[in-house]
Amino acid sequence: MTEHEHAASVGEDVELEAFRRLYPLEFLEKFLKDGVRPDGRPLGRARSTLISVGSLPHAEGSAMVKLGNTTMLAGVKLEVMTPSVDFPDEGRIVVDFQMPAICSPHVRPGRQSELEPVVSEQIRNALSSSMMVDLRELNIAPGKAAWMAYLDVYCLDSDGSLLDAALLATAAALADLKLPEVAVTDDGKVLPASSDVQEHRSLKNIQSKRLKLGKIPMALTCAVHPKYILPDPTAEEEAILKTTITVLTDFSGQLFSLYKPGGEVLASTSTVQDCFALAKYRGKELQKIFNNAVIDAEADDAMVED
Amino acid sequence: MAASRVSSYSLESQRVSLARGSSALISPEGVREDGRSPHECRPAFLQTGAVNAAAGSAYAEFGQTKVIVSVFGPRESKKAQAYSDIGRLNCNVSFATFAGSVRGKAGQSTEEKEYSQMLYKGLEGAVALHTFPKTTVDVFALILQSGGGDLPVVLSCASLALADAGIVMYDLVSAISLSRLDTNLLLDATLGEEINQDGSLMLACMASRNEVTQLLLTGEWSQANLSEGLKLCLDACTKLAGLMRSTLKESTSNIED
Amino acid sequence: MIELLKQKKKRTNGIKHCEIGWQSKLLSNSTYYRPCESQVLRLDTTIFETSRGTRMVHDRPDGRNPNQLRPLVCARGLLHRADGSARWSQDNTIVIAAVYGPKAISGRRENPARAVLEVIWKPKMGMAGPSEREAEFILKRTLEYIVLTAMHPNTAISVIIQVVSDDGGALSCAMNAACSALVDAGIPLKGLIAAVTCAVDKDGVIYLDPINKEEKEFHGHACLVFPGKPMSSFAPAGLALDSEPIERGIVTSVTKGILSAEDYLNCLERSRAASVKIAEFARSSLEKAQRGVELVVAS
Repeated sequence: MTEHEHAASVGEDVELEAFRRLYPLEFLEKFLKDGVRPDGRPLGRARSTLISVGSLPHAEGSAMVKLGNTTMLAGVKLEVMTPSVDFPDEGRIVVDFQMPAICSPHVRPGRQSELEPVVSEQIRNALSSSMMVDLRELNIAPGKAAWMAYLDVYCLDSDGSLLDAALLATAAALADLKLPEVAVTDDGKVLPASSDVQEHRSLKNIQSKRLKLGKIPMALTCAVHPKYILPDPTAEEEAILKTTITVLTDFSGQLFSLYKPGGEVLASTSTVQDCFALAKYRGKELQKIFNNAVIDAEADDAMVED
Repeated sequence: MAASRVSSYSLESQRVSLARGSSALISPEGVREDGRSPHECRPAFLQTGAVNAAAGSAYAEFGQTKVIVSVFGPRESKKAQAYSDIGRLNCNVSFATFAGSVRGKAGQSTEEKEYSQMLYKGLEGAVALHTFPKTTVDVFALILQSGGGDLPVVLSCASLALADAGIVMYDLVSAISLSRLDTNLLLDATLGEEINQDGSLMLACMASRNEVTQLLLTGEWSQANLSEGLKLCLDACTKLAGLMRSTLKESTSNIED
Repeated sequence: MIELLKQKKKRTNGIKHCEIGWQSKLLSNSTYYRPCESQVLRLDTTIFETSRGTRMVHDRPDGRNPNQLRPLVCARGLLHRADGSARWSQDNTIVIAAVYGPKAISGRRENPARAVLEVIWKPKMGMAGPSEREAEFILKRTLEYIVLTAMHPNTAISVIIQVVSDDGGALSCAMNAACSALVDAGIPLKGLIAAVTCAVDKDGVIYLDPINKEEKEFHGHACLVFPGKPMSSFAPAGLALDSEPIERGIVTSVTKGILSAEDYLNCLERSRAASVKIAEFARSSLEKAQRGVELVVAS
């Protein structure tokens, strides 16, 4: 059903836009009562999701995710570091979520958005609890050199469920990450594989490879109304309902974490269980989309190598 | 603690590929690295409405250079600012950390500050500021990938975004840069060409009014070279303006459908 | 078990002495919570029966039973320049909260419909990083649930959290401190909240109020906030959950590490039970402390 058809049912005197601005909650509830949401989807459905990987040539791994209008661009850049004494065979992944001023009217340049550290922390938490990447995969020469992966996720368009999209972009960028072929000298100096081998003695070549991935984390944000649960809310729905629950699971529905930062509505045990069920369903859906995107990229790789 | 010594692996490899003489960048037959002739622009892709949360936005891709510009407003000016009869234009340019071959750092760099100022200067003359008194229009640009000629791409993209937001302008601003390598004039230079250039020229103009909003000249130029360069830029700007115009027309006809 | 209890007794005594030495002035309006022994004995019979069968329970470093909270201490009104303040401690985790406002603000943050809440989290040492920023966000959203912001439009209420020492559960400690400080400042509230942290080990055994070492060691831990049981008949429409009383709803849930769905639901039940105890303590401490303040004024 289009917005125009609804406008007629909303009331003759009040125009749709005015009604939407003056009585946002009533506006939303009118839709929910009919079992649809303002953007036309059924109550329990997430927005259409697109993943494309390998869009940034300067980054060793990259992914772009579109969740409805919400758009995320993630890029991984690699640097060589000296591993810590405690974990000589482990590299590091540093995740940063950025909301540049272009993404939303509420963000101003030079001032950090309130959500930036929140989403960053949640992504870090999800990566460490899911153990998606074994940090030993980033090892180059134990005790001497390892990869430091800087993963920056940029929000290009902000329209709700930021964590869901950002986490998906993070996972896809890591799946796309290809460690380059390098040569390592005896004292742990890392050189590009193409550099002159004659100069350095006892060079060891390390083949380029992709990371082996463990369980892949995903998030599903649900906006909570006393009567309804709306998965994957838009920015408008988030602002009206003021309460969200984010369920972090892997694709098989195994729970890692449940995040509900306050809000106006309380969650009962049954609400929580409903959210688990929605996340499980969404996990199956996302797994297909994710696998297709990543397999496509690998197929492209194979073509190039041939 | 772990990353006490971070060597820039990618930096070294990149330098190797970029530091070359001008002879490597253009063949004796006058063909550039990417197969263009010296006076040919890069393939351009323009699109309006890239960011839904903004009042107006545009995405531009010129070869390897990719930028997004969002426009917000006209909206309330900062409280601290004094009363103003005419509107204000607030410009900000930032680079994504993965825009270049070496990872950028968070926080505003001097380059970003300079670009923000240049963007403001380039647009100021084209926007009808008197149509939104007391308020501010914000123009924010994010350079997703830096591949040479970043500023002119941001400028053209910003004027498209302003038009998309319905801000009244005297004309669209189209901008193009040109690099001088020895005696060769290379239009719409790539990053590799820019690094090796002996002089550069950037021109932003309102093509249909035949007015220049910004002209930026670096390096040593002979009179003949300069006038030829200007002519080339003006010509390219007019063509780019045509492309921008048709992009806008397309986006409005899509809405009507 | 008797050994354990003895240890525990010694420890709480130690704390009391330490309190006196630390800031004796506070004692006049401080209230203590010490779990009584009979209660401990009653609860530990259930803890061995987890949903996955009978399990061994790890010895806790401080000799507590898995179902036992650390001794709570709450003092109010200790900062003279703030409009309201409270110090809340759970053994070695000590947090001071100060409330300023409602005060005038200007600029974009001003809201003509309601008061704006701002939370500043000061770590024990060093600068506030992203994790502190996240804690600020969580705290702000949680307090928005209880503060009746519509009563003071166009104003700001700031809550400043100073972590004095952190031995696990600083977030829940800060929530409880902030709630008491808001009461102390006389900010109109919808009700009280009670925050509990619990940790889960690999076998699914739940440990209430873990210390730092336990938080790191165990599989995952959760900080859960529940509304206090309403004392009056004032229960705003739309807040009651269908068929469930208000105090069973979750205000905030923040988890770290891995928690399976089953573990999470178990945590929820355990924390709910513990939150009742904390809410009772908070309420009684607020009542007692008020009397203490009156006494000071009279003399």
